[in-house]
Amino acid sequence: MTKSCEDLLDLLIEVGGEQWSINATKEFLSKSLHDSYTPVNYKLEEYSSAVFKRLWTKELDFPFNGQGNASVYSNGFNDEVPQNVRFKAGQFSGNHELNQLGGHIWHDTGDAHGNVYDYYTRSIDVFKNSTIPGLLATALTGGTSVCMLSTWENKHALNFVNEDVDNENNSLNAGVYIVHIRDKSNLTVKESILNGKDMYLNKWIYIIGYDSKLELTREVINSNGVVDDVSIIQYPGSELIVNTYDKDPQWRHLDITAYQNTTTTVNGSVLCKNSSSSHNVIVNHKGNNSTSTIKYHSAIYNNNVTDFIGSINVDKKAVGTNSSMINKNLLMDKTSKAKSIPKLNINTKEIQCTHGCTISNVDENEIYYLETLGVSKTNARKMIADGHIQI
Amino acid sequence: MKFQDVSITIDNKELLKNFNKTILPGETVVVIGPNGCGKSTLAHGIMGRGDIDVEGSIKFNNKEITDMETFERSKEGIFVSWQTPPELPGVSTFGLIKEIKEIKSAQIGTELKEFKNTLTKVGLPESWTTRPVNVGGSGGERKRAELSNLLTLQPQCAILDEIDTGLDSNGLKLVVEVINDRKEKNLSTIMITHNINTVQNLEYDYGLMFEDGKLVEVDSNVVEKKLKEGYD
Repeated sequence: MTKSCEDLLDLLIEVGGEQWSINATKEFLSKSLHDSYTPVNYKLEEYSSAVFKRLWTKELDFPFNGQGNASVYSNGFNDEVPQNVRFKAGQFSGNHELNQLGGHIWHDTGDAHGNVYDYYTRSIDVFKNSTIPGLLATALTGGTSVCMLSTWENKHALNFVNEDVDNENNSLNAGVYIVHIRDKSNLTVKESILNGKDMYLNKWIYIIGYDSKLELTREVINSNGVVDDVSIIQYPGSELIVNTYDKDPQWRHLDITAYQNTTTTVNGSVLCKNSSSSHNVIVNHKGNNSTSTIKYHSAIYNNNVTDFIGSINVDKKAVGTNSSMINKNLLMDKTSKAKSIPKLNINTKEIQCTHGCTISNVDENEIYYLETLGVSKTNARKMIADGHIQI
Repeated sequence: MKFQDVSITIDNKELLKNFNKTILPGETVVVIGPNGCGKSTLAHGIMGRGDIDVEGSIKFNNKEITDMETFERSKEGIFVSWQTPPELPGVSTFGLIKEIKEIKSAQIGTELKEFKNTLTKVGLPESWTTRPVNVGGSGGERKRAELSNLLTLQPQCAILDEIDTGLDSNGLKLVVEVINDRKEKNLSTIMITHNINTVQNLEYDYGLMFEDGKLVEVDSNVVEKKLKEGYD
C-alpha cells in the first residue's frame, strides 16, 4: 500500500515535534521509507530516471523548450543581472527586486504564473508517487521556484543564499527549485545555506542546455542540517562541475544524467565533526563519448559516520564513456566510522571506468611532523583533515 | 641545551645511557655513529616523540623541556629536520608557514615575499609556496624544503638529521653555508651526518660519537677519521 507524502508529513511532524533534527528525521525517513515503502514502489535508480525520462521525452510538456510560453521566462534576461538571490524562510526575499529587473525568477504560489504552475502540478503527480525525501519536499512546499538562466555575459555568477539569521525558531524549510540553463551558456552558480536554524529539505533540478557550461558550488555553513535531492540533466555537449562543501549534518542525493559528448566533474568535501553525513551520488551515462570524474573526500571525527554510495551507470548506447570514481575517507579518531560503496553498472562495451575507495586512519607521523614545526596537536589534526578534504 | 643523566630507550632498547653535556649558544656539534645506533632517536627524543622514552633532564634556556608537548619545545626554539619528511596532501606549503609563524592577514604580502626569497635561496621554485607540503618532491627537494623551514624559523637550537643526504654538490655547499652562518648569529646546531665533505667544510666545535650506548666527545681528527674509515 502506498502512503501519500502528506501522510509522511504528518509522521515527520510527529517525529520532529517542535525541534526538527536532521538525525531524527534521517533515522525516521530511513526506517519508514525503506521498511514501509520499499516493498511497494521504491527503487532508487528508477525514481529519478522516471522523472528525467519524462522531462527528456517532453511527456511533462516541459515548457523550457523554446516553444509555447518560453518567452515568459526570458523577460529581462538581457539587461541587468542580479548577483545575489536571497531566500528567507523559504521565500525569495529578493523577489521584489528581481521583479524590477524583469521577474525572471519565480516563486510560484500556484495561481499567478500559468505555465510554471502547470509544470509544477504535472510534475507533482510524478513526485507524489515517490518517497524519496527530496521529492517529498515537492509535496511539502506550497509552490515551486523556477529560475531560467542564460548567458548575459561570457561568464555569469549567481548566488542563491538561504539565510535565516533572524529566525529564532527551528522549523522545517522545504523548497523545490528548478534552474534551467539555456543552450550555449556559461554560468557559475552558488547555492549557500548559511546560519540556518531550520532544517532544510530541498529538491533542486538543474537542466543544462546544449553546449552549456555550469560550475555549481554547493555549501552549507553553520547550519542545522540539510536533506537535499538534486537532479541534473546534461544535454549533449554540456559541461558540469559540481563542488559540494559539507560541514554540517547532511543527507544529500545527487543524480546526474549525462547525454552524449558531456563532461561531468563532481567533487565532494565532507567534514563530519559534529554530525554524521550521507552522500548518494549517481551518474547515468546515457549517450556516447561522455566523461565523468567523481571524487569525494571525507574526514570524520567523534563517533560520527559518513556514508558514501556512488554509482556509475553506463547505458547500452553510451559507447566511449570514460568514467572514474574515488571516495577517500580519513578517520580522525578511533570512534569515527566510514562506509563506502562505489558501484559500476556497465551495459556496453568499449568504455573505460574505474572506481575505488579508501578508509584510513590519520597518520600520527604527519601530526608529529607538524608538531615539530610548532603546530599544536589540535591544529595539526585540523590542518590534516582540512587538507584531506580540499577540493 | 643542558643534558643531565639522559637515557633514551625505544622499543625496550636502551640506545643512550647517562648522557651529560651542555651545548652552548653558537656551538656547532657534529654527531656521528653507525646506522641504528640512536642518532635520530636522540634527535626525536629531544623533540618529544611519543614512542621514545627519555629519562633524566634536558633543559633549554634553563627550562625543563622533557615535560613539554612537542610543539611547545618547537616554540621554545628547538628544531629538528627530518630525514624523510612526510607528504601532507592538501596542506599548502605557505599555508603551513602561515600557521607556524601565526601570520596575520595584514602581513601576508610581506611574509610571502620573504618566504619566496627563502625558497630561492634554498634552490626551490616560487611555485613551491602553493604546492602541498612535500607532495611529489624528490629526496633532494624535500631536504631543501627542510632547509627553508630552518631558515624561516631561525631556531635557537637546530638538530639537523642527515640534512646533507640526497643533496647535490650545490646543496651540500648551501648546508655548510647555512650552518656556519648560524654560528655567526650565535645559534647552536647539532648536525647528524655521515658525510665527510660536509664536516671538512664545517666550522664545528667538537664531535659527539655514539659508542656502546654512550655519546663520547671527540675532536675533528677522530670525526673525519671515523667518517672516512666507516664503523666496520
